[in-house]
Amino acid sequence: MSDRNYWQRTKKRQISRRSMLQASARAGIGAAGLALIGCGDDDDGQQQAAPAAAQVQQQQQEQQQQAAVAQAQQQQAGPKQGGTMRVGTGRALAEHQAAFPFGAWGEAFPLYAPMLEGLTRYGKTLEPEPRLAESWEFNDDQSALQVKLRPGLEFHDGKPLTAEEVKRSYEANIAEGAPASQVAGVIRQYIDNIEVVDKTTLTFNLAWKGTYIFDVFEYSNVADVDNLPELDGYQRVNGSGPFKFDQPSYRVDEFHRMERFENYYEPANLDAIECFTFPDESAMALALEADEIDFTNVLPHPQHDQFQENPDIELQLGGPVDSIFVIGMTLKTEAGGSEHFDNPILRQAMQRVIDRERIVDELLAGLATTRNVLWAEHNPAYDPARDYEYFNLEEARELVTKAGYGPEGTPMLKIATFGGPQQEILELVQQDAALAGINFEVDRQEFNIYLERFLGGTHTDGYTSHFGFFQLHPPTLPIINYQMRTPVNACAYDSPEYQAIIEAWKNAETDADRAATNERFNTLWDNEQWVTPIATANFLFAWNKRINGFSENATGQQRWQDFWLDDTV
Amino acid sequence: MGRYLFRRAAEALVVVFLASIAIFLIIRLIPGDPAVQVAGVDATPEQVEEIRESLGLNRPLLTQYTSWMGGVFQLDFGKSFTKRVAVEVLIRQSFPPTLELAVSAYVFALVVGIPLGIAAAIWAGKAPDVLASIFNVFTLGIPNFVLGIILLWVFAVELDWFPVSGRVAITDDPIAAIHRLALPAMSLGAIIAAILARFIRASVDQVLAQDYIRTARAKGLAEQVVVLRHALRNALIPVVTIIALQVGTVMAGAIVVEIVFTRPGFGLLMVDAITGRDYLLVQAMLAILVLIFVAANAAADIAYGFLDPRIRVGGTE
Amino acid sequence: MSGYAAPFERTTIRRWREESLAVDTAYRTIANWQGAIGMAILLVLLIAAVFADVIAAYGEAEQVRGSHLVGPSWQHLFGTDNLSRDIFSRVLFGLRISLWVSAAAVLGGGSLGTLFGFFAGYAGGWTETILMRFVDTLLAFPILLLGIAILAVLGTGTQQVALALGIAQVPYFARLARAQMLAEKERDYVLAAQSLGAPPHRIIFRHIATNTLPPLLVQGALAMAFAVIIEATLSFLGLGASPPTPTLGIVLSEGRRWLTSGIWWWVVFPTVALALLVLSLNFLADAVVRAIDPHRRNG
Repeated sequence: MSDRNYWQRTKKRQISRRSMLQASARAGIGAAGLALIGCGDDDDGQQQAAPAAAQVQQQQQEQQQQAAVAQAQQQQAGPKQGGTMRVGTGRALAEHQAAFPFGAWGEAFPLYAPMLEGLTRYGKTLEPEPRLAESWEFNDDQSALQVKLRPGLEFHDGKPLTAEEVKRSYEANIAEGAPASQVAGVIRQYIDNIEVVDKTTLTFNLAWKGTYIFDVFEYSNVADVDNLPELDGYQRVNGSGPFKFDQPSYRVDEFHRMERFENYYEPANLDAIECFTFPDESAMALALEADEIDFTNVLPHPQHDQFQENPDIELQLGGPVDSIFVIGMTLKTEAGGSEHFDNPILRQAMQRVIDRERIVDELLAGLATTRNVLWAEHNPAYDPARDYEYFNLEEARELVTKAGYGPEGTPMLKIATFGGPQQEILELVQQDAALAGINFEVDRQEFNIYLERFLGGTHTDGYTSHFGFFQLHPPTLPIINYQMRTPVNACAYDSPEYQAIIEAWKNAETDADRAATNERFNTLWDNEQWVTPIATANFLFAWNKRINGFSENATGQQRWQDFWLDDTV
Repeated sequence: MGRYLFRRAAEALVVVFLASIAIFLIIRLIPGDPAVQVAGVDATPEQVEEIRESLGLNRPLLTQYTSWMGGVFQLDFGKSFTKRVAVEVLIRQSFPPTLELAVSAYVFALVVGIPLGIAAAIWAGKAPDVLASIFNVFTLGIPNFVLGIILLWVFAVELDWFPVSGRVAITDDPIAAIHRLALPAMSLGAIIAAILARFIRASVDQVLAQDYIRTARAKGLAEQVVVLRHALRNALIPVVTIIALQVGTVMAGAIVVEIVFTRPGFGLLMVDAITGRDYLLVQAMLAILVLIFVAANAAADIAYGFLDPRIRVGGTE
Repeated sequence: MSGYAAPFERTTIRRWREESLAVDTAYRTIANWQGAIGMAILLVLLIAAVFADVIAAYGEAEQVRGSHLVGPSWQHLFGTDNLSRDIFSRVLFGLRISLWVSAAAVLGGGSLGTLFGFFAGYAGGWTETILMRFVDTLLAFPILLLGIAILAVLGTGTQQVALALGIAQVPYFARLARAQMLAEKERDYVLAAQSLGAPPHRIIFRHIATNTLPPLLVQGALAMAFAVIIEATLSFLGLGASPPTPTLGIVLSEGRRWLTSGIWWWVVFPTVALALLVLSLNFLADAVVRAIDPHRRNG
């Protein structure tokens, strides 16, 4: 029996899109044979979170089994060597310049991540896995971490990748004149200094005790500091990852090719990865359908139906870890902001006017998960008791009244957006919010203007945005996330209690201290929330049947060396 | 003729100079600080200030303008803020795709537009005229961004006659290049074809309405052929002007076509440069655009002068 | 129509046509098949746009819970979009705004450009040369790019779009008006009036303006059709009116993303509305061109 028949059969059963995608997501994770430790937990979490009925779950399981069988048949042959994977993205390499090589930007991962590698990366949970680092060990009070590199590591040009190089790379992040990056913030905070012990061993002396340091490793890459001047404009990339940059092929905003680096500690299966930038997402979907690209991580939600019918295309929802859609509310400051959202009661009302179910089902094609709280399920600060559906217009109405507004509700507020799914979400919320007395207009701005106001915390009343880094250790969020950090954040929120919580995280000696501080933060959040979570902004991955070896870790990153191409399909 | 050419060139230079000032000022009128964008989302105010300094944005406007012009005269357009590459490299990379697209769009427009216009005029109110009108509706009435995706869907995906995306340089592989150019050229050229057909229809129509031609037409078929030839010659003169005047339409249309057909070129880069507040890139690109437009118009005027000697005597019009 | 009234009407119209060039031109325009169709379509669209409040069953941004992406039905003639809004209503309101934006742009920019061109053409000499070089400079920027730049300066919104499109119209009308002025200036009746000592403004407004109006009308109709498309394209590039306000361009660029997933109604209906609008304006322009053609007039 061919694959085609299998697919047609499943389609006739009319399973809801969401259950189908979730099932295939899990099957995919299993088939990749990776990160098995966290897999079970993650499934439980998803099933709890998903409001699916028992019947749907049963269907899911059946489906999962079938998918697993199909995957297993495919798996028998094992990974093949060779071939080129053509990746389509909506982003261009040049856009990633400012933070390169240290930053992290989910949408642009395929463009640059294959060229660079870090010391460790998380698996399915906040449990680090070895990459350039072979092993690591904390001292007794967790104030220092000794890292041992794999033997014989090299940069792409053959230069040895030693402990000294790693130290230089980290120091370059925070050196005077270094490009601004989010990772630089956590390096400054968490690391006191770095000592080289020998050629392959180095010690990180920590300013914040504990495992926070792995958050740094998750998003930082080891780069050749001597290469930095030539990195500007991608004149030359001397990277540390499984694929090396083919400079002559580089066409700004259009194309670049990366070839397998043979001396990588775990050489990749593919010969090369080619990246194509598509300014029009609908055209990218058509290119995938026409077999002109093999893989994309940013398939637009509207295109989902087009592929559900297509037997040659695999679809997979990214885990609930990539980033989430939120509405941020700006507090009043001298520089601007909202006198209305200055009132925390009105902010609480906002949390209750958002029909997350409808947003997921109707705007995100069922290909997302509702989010009621900030933290990812695997995060130590995640509290299942707080994770319930907040949508309640009556409650919201009462809160608006309590906040001091009459039957007309608030005056017309302005909530900013720069288009895309965020704008649609805002438009959807608008009608319900008005029913509860929160009146706002959608203020569409050019990205440039939006960004300036976002960074300065001066949006008139509020804004829509993506929210990331909630998968990491809780204290990383106020350091790295624009909407959470102090003293300047996108919402202009700051309070003595918030400062005290951050200080408590910093000074925590034991896990019990940390847990207590997490709870303290969550209590503050219940009352003061300045950012309302809505739904996962999951990346929708799609690839043709020749591509295998996909995986996604706790922060939504892939292992590019694992991809392999099966030409027989 | 020499004096006429000289005067025409002098006027063109004035326009280019005025445009360069306009470009320089307009891009700086746009709110949004390029330094903020260049600095990246994580920069501190100090870092933004440093970048502003290094980009020379703190200097007086006049200094910025003269130093830019000084560079331009030495063919140094500076470095793009956002793409971190020399402006010259970007322009050299983005120009050929757009040139290919524009030329093929014009070819399509001439091949389709001229016969369509003539047929519509001769058989006014009959089938060819209606056909021309339908063609107009489809090309002028359906925005390019919709038409493009429909063309891709039908011809590239469902029928699989053409590739969906990408470009092959015409110098590398002419056949593959034309294969990939067909749909974008059609999408862009259709608008010019429609405009061209309208003009040709109108001017042939005008000639046909003249008394002596009516007489000639009445005499029979042989005469009609002669007449048609005459009408055609008259009709083709405005074609030159239209082609020149539509350079702007083509460049603007190229923006959308380049987006939909994934052929990054001059148009797309231009939009990127404006939205990214990439001053030096915008300045250089707009200046080139103005030069092309002015040159095309001057060339059309001169060609027109050759075709119709009265114009030279009368001045510029 | 009663047999008694018809001859009376016919003679009255004939008399008006003989007395007024404008009436004659209008008559000839509508007598042409293209003119008749164009006028009829435009009238229907105008009525639909003006009475959108009455005709549309739903508000311009009203979400009808439970009607997510449903195809055309009696309840939703043109189906609904992914925010469960009635596309028929959005097309009507969108038509209204698109018409308003393009008409305002062409009337505003067109009048300004026309006055500018008349003045330059009438003044002649250095004044003309300098003014026209400014016009040429503006003309050198493609309308779409000019629109993008102006909207970047002004911010997005319906009025801003109208203003941007209006500014972009100025040079085209200025050029045309000047050319008309140059041609008319040399005519016998102007020279005669001048030699009789009639003041300059009277010459312009009485004689020249009335004679050059039809070509400007043609340009106006074409410019309006073009403005509708440019507005749509600006929306596609994310620079249109503010959401959830619909324009035809916004509805189209929203729906376009769903086309390949089989949601055809979200694209097809607004496209038809847009194409009909552009078609009617083009037909009218063509018909006016024929109506004012002196060779045809004599026939």
